[in-house]
Amino acid sequence: MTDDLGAKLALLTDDRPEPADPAAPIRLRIKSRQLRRRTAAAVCAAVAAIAVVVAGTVIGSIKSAEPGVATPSPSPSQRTQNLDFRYTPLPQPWSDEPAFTTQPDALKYAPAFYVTDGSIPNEHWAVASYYSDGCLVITDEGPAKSFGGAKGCFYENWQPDQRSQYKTVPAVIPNAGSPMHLTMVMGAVSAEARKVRVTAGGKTYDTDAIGTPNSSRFRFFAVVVSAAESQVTAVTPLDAAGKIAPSPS
Amino acid sequence: MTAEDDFDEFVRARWTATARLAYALTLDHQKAEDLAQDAFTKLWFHWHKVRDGNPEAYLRKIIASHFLSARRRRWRGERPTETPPETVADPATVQVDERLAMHQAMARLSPRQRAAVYLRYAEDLSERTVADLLGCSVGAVKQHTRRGLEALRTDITFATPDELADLTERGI
Repeated sequence: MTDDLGAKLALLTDDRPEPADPAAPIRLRIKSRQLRRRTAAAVCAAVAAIAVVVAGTVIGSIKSAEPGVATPSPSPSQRTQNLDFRYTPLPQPWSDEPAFTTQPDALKYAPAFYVTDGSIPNEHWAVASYYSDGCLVITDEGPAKSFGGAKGCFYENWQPDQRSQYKTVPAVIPNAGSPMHLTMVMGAVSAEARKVRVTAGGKTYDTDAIGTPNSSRFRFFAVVVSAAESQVTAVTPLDAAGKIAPSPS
Repeated sequence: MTAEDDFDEFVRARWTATARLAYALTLDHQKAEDLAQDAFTKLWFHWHKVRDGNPEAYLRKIIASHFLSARRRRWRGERPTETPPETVADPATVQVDERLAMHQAMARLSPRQRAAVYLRYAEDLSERTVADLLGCSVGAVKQHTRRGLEALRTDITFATPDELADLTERGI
């Protein structure tokens, strides 16, 4: 049978339509495939470049967040210069110390500057300003986990004659007898202010109104009061003379 | 002569044989043309390496591997139908009957059996060469060929002229 098979197979395939020039459609396919290859190569190169940038950012953030690694700390002036951030300092109180130098999300908030810091039982907290013209974030350095890294922005929705804009962040500290209610009050006042007086739970708390390079319009403040959130009744900015400071211009 | 001109000449020279091989494997004119064009296109991207060697062998390898991998991806089994897909120009001729019968017989083979049988007995390639083309051992080629021939032997394609006449009467 195999002697005959070659002939039968030849018969099978000899009834086929033949193109006039078989090279022409193949040339078209080659051009199309070359175009696809170039496009794919360009897309791959772009994706690779993005991946390298993202990986560099992530690795940099991870390295900066590694605990217990002692690295020489540059002076505040050097760090500020490295940020390449132009600003005109406000009169004291003033802070241009860059914040988040050990935070994984430092780049997200940069440039950020410390406003103030403090302590609650077993924790240290700090608040930094970031973003042009006024946002605040509670950092978890310390770690101040009780406030949950809350943040707030104060550069818009100011009403006429409104002298301060603030955000309250409650924290409940477990205590042997009864839980301790603490509230972080943080916000912005006008550049003319020097201090902020917070009234909460029948007590008054004075804290500095800090200028930072993030804003020439606002100063920022943060204070933890020993009261529940609902007990914060007044936030009053005071100027250098101790009088009520005007609204932000 | 540029590489493109050289390649185009090769395409024109080898198109008929390549399209025959592709048709023997796919048993479909459109698929065969697509397979052949695709194989030549792939060959172009290796042309500078193979042009001075054995481009025919490389082309066969592309065809075989492309056909078998495509079958793996889209295997739906062979389903011979009562009516072959081709239009019969002149069903009265014995040659057409034989072609149709052969078409159906080959369609009943597995893709590897079909490839092995065609490469061995139509292209007259050695078992070793066929094994290289199909990416399997010589033993496997022998097995595919033997089973393919057994299937063809029992098939109506190789029946008597009377039975072929009966096939024609039934419109097959």
